[in-house]
Amino acid sequence: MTPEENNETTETLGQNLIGNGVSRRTFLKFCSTVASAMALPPTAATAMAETLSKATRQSVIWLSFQECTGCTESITRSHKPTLESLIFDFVSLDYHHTLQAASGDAAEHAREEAQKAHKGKYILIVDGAIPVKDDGVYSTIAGITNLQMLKDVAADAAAIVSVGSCAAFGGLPKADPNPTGAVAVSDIIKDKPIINIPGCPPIPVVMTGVLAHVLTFGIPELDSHGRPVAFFGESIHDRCYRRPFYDRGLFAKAFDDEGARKGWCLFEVGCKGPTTHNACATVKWNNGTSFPIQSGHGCIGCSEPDFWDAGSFYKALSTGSMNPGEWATDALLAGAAVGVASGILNKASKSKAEKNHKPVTLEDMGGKNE
Amino acid sequence: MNEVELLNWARGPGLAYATVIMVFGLTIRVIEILSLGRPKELAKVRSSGTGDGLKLVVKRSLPEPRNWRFITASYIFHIGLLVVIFFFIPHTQFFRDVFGVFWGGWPNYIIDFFTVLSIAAMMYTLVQRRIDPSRRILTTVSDYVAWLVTFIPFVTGYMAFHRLGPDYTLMLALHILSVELLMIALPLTKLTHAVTFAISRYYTGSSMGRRGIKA
Amino acid sequence: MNLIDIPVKTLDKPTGMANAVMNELSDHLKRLADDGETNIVDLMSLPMTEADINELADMLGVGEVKATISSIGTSSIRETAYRGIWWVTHYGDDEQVLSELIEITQVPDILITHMDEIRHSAQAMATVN
Ligand code: SF4
Repeated sequence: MTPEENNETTETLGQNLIGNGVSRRTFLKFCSTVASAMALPPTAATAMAETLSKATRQSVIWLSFQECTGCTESITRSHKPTLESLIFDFVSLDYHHTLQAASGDAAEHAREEAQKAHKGKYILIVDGAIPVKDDGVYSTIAGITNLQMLKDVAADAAAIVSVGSCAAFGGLPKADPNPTGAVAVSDIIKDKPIINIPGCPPIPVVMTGVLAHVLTFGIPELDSHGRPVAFFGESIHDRCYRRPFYDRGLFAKAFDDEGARKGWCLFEVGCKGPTTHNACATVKWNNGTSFPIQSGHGCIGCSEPDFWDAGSFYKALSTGSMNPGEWATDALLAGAAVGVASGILNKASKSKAEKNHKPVTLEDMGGKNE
Repeated sequence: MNEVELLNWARGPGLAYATVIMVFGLTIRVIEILSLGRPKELAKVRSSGTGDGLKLVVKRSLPEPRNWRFITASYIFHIGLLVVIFFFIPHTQFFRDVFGVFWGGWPNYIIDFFTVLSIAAMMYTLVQRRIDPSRRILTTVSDYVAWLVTFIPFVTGYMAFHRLGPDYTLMLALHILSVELLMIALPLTKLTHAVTFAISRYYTGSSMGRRGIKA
Repeated sequence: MNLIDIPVKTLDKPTGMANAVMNELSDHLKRLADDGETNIVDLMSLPMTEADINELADMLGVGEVKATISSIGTSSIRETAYRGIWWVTHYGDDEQVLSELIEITQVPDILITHMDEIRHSAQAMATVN
């Protein structure tokens, strides 16, 4: 990510990899793994490797807004280089607050340079939500609001990848009461292709896989929330290994009871797996070690829009999120008051009716009084 | 509004509003009925009527050998309704959350069985209502509404559980919304009988008893 | 407590998948023999149980070539008893299986040294000597 590297735009990725000590076989292995994870035809791996290696390195600008850096951590975090983190060798990351060495004016300058040099061709990656209340003053970088910077940089981008639930759906910053008026990238930018890779944070191989797909075969198939179907097509519940217990009605009722120890379904302790779409149950975390449900905690639904506002993480999906019991108590009291009042009114009209009551005579009934 | 927002609304504000309308409405209804009292007894009072009242509550809940097909269908559907509402495990979680008590749930295949049976029984009663002339005359628009708002939760629930329809999240949202519709209709239609059936049967039974009539 | 202590047992019986894959492979091998067409089957994309995979491995047998690549994690490449059918397993840096492929080809791409790298090495050697 030195300025020299940025200028070597004629060098292909293939040549560049050799220079960086990434062997061609590692590269091919990466492509095979990505193709397999994305359920692409297996022969796509070689095509992917060839396409990527012949191209110049794709310029990428990564903007971080209202976020916690967890997404960057997720994709880069490892003591040894993992296959997932290799993606950084395949792109030219021209601007990334957290990862770049440059700071201050030099950093902003690098962004402007890349924006000019690769106008209309760079990929914009965003993590973090964008506050729009009060013209977006609640988050600024180098004196520029996130809102302004996103609009500027998005204008010349070929495509946008929203990484993490904040960029994709607004995430934590947008959670009720949303003091900064935070929104998702797609709420602001309407005229560019946007791929959402939600998750808090997203699974590393999902980020890598989608980026590799974009670099080689273009934008993958997306669902109605802009998420790649290859990773978000099925719910956690669909692929959960505890599913047989759900179907048989065997549930853990607390985190330390018999059921929990036996590995029963976590629905009753709040699992949101049935409504959550992500690849955790198959791809798993920490290089395939485990995922929340396997570790005994329900899914919190982090890859779905507004998951912070969907009620407690520890209450079953089938419960109300706004304490219907309390509302019921109030309604009961109010109903009782109105009921008693109307009862008194009814009594009054009844006694009036009784007073006006005249016995029915035979004449009234149409009979003859003989 | 996408399906996730719909679900969040249904589980949050939607449920709160529906609860308020249902509880408020039913409370008014019950208190009004109770506060009406009895008309002055013009005839000689033969007994307190308590026993006869209680007897009728039970008696009118037992089948009468008239149209056994229709009666069986009604029974199946009422029992199915109670079983599905109170013993499907996700539902028990709802009640545990609201009332703090858990009475145990039944395995999904039992619930599934009752659901299918109830749906069939409800359809049968609807068809009967249409083809039997006397029933047809007695049925008002409000009765059809009552049938529909009871029927939809069964169907949406069944579809959600079996992952039918376009999307589980959407089906779950629709299921909850349809139940909220049912909750709202409860105090506004004859569905109020869910809470008043005992009161009215007791009333009829006891006043007949007081007059010495066999109910 | 371990995952194996949790009494959820994945079905570990042969399901007949191995036979299906064998059929597909024989088709592919015929094409390779007739027109030189290469193919790859991704075992991870198929609903195969542990037992199915073992069964398939038994059916394919062991050939005479065995190679290991050490890049990030290792990769093992074995020719099966059917010449031209290769079993390729990619492991991550912690022994986890990343992908498991059956390649129907003269030699798997991953074993061939790429020309870019050969050129690069040639240059390097020339400078050393
Ligand atoms: S633990 Fe969660 S995802 Fe798994 S079966 Fe139970 S409810 Fe579904």
